[in-house]
Amino acid sequence: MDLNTAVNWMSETALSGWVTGSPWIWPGLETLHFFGLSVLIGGLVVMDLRVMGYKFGLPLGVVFQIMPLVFAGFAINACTGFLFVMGDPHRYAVNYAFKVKMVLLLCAGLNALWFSWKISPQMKTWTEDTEGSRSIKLVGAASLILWFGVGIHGRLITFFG
Amino acid sequence: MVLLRWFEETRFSDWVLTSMIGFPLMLSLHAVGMAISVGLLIVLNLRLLGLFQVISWSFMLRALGLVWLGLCVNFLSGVALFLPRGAEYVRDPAFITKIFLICVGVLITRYLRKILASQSELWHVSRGAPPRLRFCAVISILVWFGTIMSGRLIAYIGSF
Repeated sequence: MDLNTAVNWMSETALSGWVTGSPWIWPGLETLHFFGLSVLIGGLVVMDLRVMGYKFGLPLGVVFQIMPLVFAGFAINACTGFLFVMGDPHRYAVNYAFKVKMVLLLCAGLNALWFSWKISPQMKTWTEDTEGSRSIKLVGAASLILWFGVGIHGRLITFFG
Repeated sequence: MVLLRWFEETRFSDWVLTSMIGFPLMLSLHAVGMAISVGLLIVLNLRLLGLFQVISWSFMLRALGLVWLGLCVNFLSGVALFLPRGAEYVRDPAFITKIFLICVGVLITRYLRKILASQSELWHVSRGAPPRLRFCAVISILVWFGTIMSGRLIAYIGSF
């Protein structure tokens, strides 16, 4: 199935009809998407700054405790984002900013996987004052940069079609 | 009104509206500032409600510095977005609601900051804040959610 067939099929689903069916649904989903972005970034800023070595008196446990908040923000945005694509697949299929956003999202996801597989197990033995190696700090910085990039390119979908 | 019309005619307004980067840049800054300030305020308010107990109150007070920074970014980018269409915006219910909610949100945040700075040392770590502040925390989250919602609706002026 090529992209065109997929896009045509998506736009004919009942779900797509629901998303575009009422003038309130799209702005409602956008509101949730912006709120989800804030939740995600709020948790990430605290977590990644600690990983990057800015201790601010934060114990390491903060990294693990705040992870569910980040996931919650991501879950809100994955669901609402999926509904946007289902609602208007023709637009997203050709949108340049959306494609860049998806690439950045993939990179941010791989970076997060790397963090949870390789780095967070090591952190269990860290004390409050431990600073990570340079490569660990880099993973924290990359996370912030990539996620802000995802947010900005999401905003740009309106302009660079 | 005359002043707002005058602002709409300035070269700055023209740049924001017609240049390739003006409007997208200001909107991107507005989204980044929102994510930082609202995001950290959500963390702060959830902490007041008893979550993330590893986070100290002194960190929360510090994080408020970043919140103000985010709000400043949004004030400046917001002014840049407002000026080219000010006369239209001041009559828009979504815009008026948004400005009202921001004022309420900022007042609540200032109040929380004051209480945190003076009383948080007395609170038991494993519990959250006193009931009165928990109530403020819930209102704060709702107010910022409402701000995002009314802000989003500004884009749909006249389309409902």
